[in-house]
Amino acid sequence: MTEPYSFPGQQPDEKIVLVLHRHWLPFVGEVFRLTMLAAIPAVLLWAGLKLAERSIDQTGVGFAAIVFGFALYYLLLVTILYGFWLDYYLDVFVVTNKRLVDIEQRGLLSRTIAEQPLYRIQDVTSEVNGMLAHLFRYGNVYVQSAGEKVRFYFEQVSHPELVVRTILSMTDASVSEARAKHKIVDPRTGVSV
Amino acid sequence: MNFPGAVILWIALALLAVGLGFAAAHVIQGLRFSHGDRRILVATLAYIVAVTVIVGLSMILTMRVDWSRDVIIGGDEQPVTQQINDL
Repeated sequence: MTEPYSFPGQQPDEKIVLVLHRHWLPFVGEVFRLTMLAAIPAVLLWAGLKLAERSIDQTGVGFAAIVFGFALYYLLLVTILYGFWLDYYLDVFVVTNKRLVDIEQRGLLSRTIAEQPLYRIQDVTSEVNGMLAHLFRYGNVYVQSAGEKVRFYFEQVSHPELVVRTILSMTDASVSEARAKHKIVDPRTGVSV
Repeated sequence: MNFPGAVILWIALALLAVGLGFAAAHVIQGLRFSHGDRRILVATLAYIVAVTVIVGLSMILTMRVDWSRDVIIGGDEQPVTQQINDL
């Protein structure tokens, strides 16, 4: 599907340069962990019955309790998986020709949207931690802006060094455009800066 | 179906309703987020199907349970219904 991407608060003349999701590998790790958790009770029940050489009486109230317990457990796991997927998929970092937008899904029904104009960006850093991150080329990108204590933090994105280069080139372009538009002059020297 | 079975089914249905409620809220939120993105819709539908299958299976499996059989009064081996008939 090639429908144009959009995000809340996008301006009409704003062009999206990069849309970054978190890398798929950490999500696959979570899925694997949940799969293991799903298999454990079923295997334990089967092994327990085998060891005790008994079968479950399917007309007893004990059987109903087991079924109910399993249903609750698997409902919980499915809901956690759904929450993980939404958190993974709806966490988006957008780089436009005007700003950076960090859309972060928090829990099931809340979301935080932070943005930073490109001309305020001072420093962009990439960080790759761990063997898997090196192998699959994903890492974190930190963006430091003027006068801000809290850095922008793009978590587990693919090719962080490429993201850094793109943000820096967009920042340069944005600053040049702002200078051309407003003709910023250094008051001490009288020279355009 | 008697009282304990009905309670379990009611709880299961309530869980299903909660799950569907969360799912519906996310479909709305997701479609508003990026217009026309069908992946959120597909994931939500998969979640609804999974919840329905789990609740449906548990309902089907517990339908065969004889709720009166294992309820014993005073350690007597006879089921409640049998004891009541004997009175």
